[in-house]
Amino acid sequence: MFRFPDGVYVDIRIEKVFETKIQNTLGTLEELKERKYEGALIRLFDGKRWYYSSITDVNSIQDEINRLYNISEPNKDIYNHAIVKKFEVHTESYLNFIDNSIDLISKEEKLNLVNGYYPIVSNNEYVKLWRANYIDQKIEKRFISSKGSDFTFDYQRVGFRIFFELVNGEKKFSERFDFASNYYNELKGLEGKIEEKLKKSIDFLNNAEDIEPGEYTVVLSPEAAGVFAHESFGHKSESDFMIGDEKMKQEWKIGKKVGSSILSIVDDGNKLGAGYVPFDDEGTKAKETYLIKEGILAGRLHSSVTAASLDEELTGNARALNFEFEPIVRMTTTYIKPGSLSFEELISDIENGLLIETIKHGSGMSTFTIAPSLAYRIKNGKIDKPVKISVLSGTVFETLNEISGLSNELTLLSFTLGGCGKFEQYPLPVGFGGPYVKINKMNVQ
Amino acid sequence: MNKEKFQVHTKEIAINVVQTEIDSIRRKDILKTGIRVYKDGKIGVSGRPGNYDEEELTKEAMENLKLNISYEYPLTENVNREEVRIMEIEENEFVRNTETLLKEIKEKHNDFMFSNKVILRDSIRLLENDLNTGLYAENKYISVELAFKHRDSVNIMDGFVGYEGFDYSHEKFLDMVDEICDAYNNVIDIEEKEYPIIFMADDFLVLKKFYIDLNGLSFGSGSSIFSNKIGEKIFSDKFSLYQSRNYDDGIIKAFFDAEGSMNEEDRYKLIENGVLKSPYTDKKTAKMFNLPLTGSAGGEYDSVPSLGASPLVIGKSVNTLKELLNGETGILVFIASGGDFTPDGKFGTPVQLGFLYDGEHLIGRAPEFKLNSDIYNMFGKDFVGVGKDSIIPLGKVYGTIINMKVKL
Repeated sequence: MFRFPDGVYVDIRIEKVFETKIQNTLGTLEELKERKYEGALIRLFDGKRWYYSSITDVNSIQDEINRLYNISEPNKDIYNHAIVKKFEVHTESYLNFIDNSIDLISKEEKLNLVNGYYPIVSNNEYVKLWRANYIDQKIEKRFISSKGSDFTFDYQRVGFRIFFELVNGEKKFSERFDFASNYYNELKGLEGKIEEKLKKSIDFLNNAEDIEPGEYTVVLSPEAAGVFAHESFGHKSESDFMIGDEKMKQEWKIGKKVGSSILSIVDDGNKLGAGYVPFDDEGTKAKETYLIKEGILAGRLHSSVTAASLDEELTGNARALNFEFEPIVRMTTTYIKPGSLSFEELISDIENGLLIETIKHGSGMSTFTIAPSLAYRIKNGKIDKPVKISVLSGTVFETLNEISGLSNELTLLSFTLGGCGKFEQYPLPVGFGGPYVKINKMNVQ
Repeated sequence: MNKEKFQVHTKEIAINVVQTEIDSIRRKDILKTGIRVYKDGKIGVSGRPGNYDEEELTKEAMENLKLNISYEYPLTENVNREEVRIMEIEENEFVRNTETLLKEIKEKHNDFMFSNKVILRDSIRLLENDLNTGLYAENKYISVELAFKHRDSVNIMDGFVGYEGFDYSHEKFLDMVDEICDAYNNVIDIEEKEYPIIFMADDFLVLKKFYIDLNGLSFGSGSSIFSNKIGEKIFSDKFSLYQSRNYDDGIIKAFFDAEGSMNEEDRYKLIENGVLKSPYTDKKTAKMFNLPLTGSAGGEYDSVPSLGASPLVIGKSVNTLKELLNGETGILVFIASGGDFTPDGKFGTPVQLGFLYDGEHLIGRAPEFKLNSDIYNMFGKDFVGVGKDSIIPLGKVYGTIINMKVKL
């Protein structure tokens, strides 16, 4: 066991990682790799500063604790520090991926599964370039703290993505099919969905029209709505930006009306998908956190530092990209709660609007943006021709108040590659989703 | 059979800044080693982070030859080059200096809060093989990435000050902070009209279409908007685009790619005076489509090397930014987040932070605005050029001027 010095708080996160990567481009196998490795991040807190060390040699953890201790300023009363008092203590085992662990499946079987999907794109006359990626990753984490935690938990994800570039004369368009889950078996039988995506993309290639920039009523698909919730509001709910900032504390008072009364946004690390993290990287159990409930600011995301600073409860959102980084406040699975309308009812009163079905990326500054990929005009209450759009943008609060309708089904999604970026820690897997969301007014470029 | 070792070693002291004070200090020392073996047109790769047994890794790589991953390209041979650039500073001194810097910033600019990271990074990359190749690049430099927020603002962040290089100067960095903060506090109205818009010369947003459509695979397979246009004049005479690993362009990178390919002066010209010369390629893509090899292989330490994107930069003109502005006031784009191009090259972006700029000094902050154009106009008739002088006195940050219509 480890010897924890007096006068400081210490925690250790040891990560055992198994991962597989397969890449095939235009029918040529370019990568088939299995990796197993271990690493650890040691954190030490003396009440004034945090000290971290990231190492690959887990046998040297005690040396690292001692080294960090030597540069710290120990504080006899450290366990009465508001931050340290916040930490949860767990001592059980929370291993959920044993019989269905992805490391029990051979790389040959994984290769055979994804090889079966390639002909869908490779045999199509419009597809000039395609690249397929399979990834899986299982992480078993042991978390030990000087406050008494010593427990192990695991999570895993598996995904398949096939990217294709389509050409018809001078017309070019690229799209991808992307599906991720926590279970290998869910990657089987995706043929129909891949074919459907390819068909829609070819229709877009051949028929998409330019759009006149301006303001439109916009309907976001669950994919676009999820990214919207993540970018427009989720990042602003990460409470590390509020520490010591009186203006922000006033602006983000719980109970303030921030959006349409039909809008509720939730973050929950218990939801299966890429954002599934049963514990965060400070040993806090995942919790369901309402960020907005019926248009009212209801909560925010916390690490121990931010929860102590704002005198609020932990939410299980202190996440690190991997053992090379310290945990910071991040989202898990963030989604908009569904409403009561069918999709047809949702679009029935739109005379000239847009449906955003898939997106390339989004960002969330003072002005948030969404760069659509597949998008369609809505004309007289019906889906019309595909349209090409560079970017949708808006100011957060104005747009949240412009939400006027929600469909009645919730879809949660995860992507195979990419993820959320926050300063140096990118890409962090997250889940997102929602129903179809109608926004009365968005700027379209 | 041939054998190759590829290592990436990162050593860092990273100081996390919260509220313009040091919040935490992170130490990192991560070595990652990959072994590649090549036999009968196949490649086998293995790798390990941390301590490793080379014999064991070699055996694993040989076992992975059975995966039948094709690699039929000549290895880099008989090349030995070592390039070491070190910013000489002790770790303790680095922490002390950062503490002093933050204290001074806080005293002078208490209406702003600064956060994020100041890093002393030592980045080592090694590639050696049994064909007498030994390549070693070490770059130890300071990276300052501080986001700032005005105390009265309700944004998460309002802007940033940054620096990356080997010639860090405390005084020059403070001068830069002064200039940016002062300009931020001076809001100046702008009109809906055409302005010289100044982007950083390596800004990913404006170069994004080139990263996508000059990818050798897209280009060679016919799906790029530039496919079949080698030798054609597509853009302005004044516009040249390089793939660069040259520090004179502000790029801190190893001088070789993941296959050990290098370029003269660590640059490769993809577009010269508006004429398309080549997409960027690795050995496989170059051979597959009979294209020039530009040395743009990437991949993780334990990956089969494959086509990656090396930094692209726009070639500098012989004029300063002030000369290029020719007496006009431009708008320097500091943050334009979330914009993009459509498949056929139309461009749109919001600009969250822009400063009015006379070619030497920031004059004031412009309100948020939007830009629309397309790739052919931006780098064709509307392209003015890249100044030969750095926008800021510290580091190598060059500005690209493009005339664009501003929409409020």
